[in-house]
Amino acid sequence: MAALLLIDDSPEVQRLFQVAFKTKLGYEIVIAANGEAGIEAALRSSFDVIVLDVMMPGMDGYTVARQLRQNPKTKDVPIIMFTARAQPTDKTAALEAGADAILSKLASFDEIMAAIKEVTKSKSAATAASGQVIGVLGCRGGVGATTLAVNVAASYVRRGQRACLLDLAPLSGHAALVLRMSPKPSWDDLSGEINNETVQPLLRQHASGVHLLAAPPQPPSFEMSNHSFNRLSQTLASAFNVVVINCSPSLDATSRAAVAAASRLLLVTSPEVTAVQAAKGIMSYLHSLSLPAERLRVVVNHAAKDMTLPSANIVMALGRTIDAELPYDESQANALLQGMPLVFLAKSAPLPPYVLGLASLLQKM
Amino acid sequence: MANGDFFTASYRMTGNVATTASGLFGLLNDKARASLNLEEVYVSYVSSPSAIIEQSSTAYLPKSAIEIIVLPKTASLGPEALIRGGFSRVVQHKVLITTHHYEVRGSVELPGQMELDVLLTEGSSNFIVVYSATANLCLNPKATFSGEAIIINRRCVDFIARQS
Repeated sequence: MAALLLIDDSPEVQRLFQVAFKTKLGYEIVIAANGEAGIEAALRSSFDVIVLDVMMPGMDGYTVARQLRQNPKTKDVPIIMFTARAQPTDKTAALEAGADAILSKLASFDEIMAAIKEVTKSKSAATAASGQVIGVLGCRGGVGATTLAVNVAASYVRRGQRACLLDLAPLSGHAALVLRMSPKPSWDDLSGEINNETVQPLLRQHASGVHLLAAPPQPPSFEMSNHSFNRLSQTLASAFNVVVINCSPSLDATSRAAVAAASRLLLVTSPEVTAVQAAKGIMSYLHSLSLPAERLRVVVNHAAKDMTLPSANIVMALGRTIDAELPYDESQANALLQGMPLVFLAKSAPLPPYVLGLASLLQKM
Repeated sequence: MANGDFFTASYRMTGNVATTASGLFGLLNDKARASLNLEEVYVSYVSSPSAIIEQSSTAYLPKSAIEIIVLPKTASLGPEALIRGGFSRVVQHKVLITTHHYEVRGSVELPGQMELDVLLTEGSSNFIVVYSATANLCLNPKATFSGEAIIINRRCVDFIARQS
């Protein structure tokens, strides 16, 4: 029996759901009359779908949706906003807040049923996907996060897995340039519905076997909403064993969504004072997002030769242990020239064993 | 009960109004009442129309402050005869009507082939109904609001243009 949580203060709507869904269709219905009670109920039990009103006394529906999306227990539960405010601007706000669909309160019973079936079906398909999503976030430009993301993705390919690299760092990232590929097409060419049919034509396979969904070389023409990003990452995760996301250090809305969606997040810094300070700032920000500590791994990357801040100082500054320290590898320059990930090009070089070990560690976590 | 979005120069109020048999249009043209009594009201700035800044169980909205009202369903308007001023045969005209802060596109209904200026000069109603309408905020044209009907305060109209 499907379980549905209705968060709505309207007695008429509560009655409709009781009669239509519980009595006629056999749904198990839990009703909460306000946002606070709704969040409590959502955390107490498991639900197949949450139907959420926007206009409620106290906490409004957008705030409830955001809080549900931030909690690991409820972040994947489909949410349908059911509201008298169903203008295009409200739809955008609802999707941004984390809703999967929005329905006007004028919708017929059949439309409500269809929406519930649609969101539960697409979420089930996404959950069935086995692909792991790994985020790579440089604390600032120049710490080698993009190069690391490329090599982590290539490490999985070396181990016989299908890996996709999604570059979310326009202008600052250029994973396409690291691989000597064209940054066109890119995710900026996505329009309308995001699904396998619309995403696959935008993917390009590198000679190493890594599939790339490039970032646009120019500022993107649109800011991807949370909803669109989630659809994109779910689509990729359903097609690949591993999706490595190169996040933008500026932590724009799309990269924030990626950080929230990633099951593992590598925070990349380098052994010099400003990079460590930037990493500390980002860790504090991630803490404010309630990102579970077990998802985060800190990597110190010797991206240049003369970076000499001792590890003990970095540990003291960050207030936590370092999960991996990657040595400087001069053959990286040659790898960039050839457009080939170092883990493929120079297996005897100092860096590849570390990256392969890191990739292995991420899948064991 | 009529549900809709009530727009003033600065605010969007979503709420319900208790109506009689003459519907919302009748209530708006009731000269004995200067304001609407909104229930279960959720308030946003028009500049950020989806962010709820205030909520209240009751609010009084002077009719003179209303620029437009977006109604998802025409059923809230009231009897057709009242809205059409008693005319049974009407012709639809596609129009753009601008107010001080909004642009409304849709269709108005006029008796026969009358000119659009009758909307501004004839009759005693202070409000104009535009059907299958969409409103844009002039300062933020991406903010669109649509409904089966949009009611416009005649006193706020800047111009009316015929659309092909």
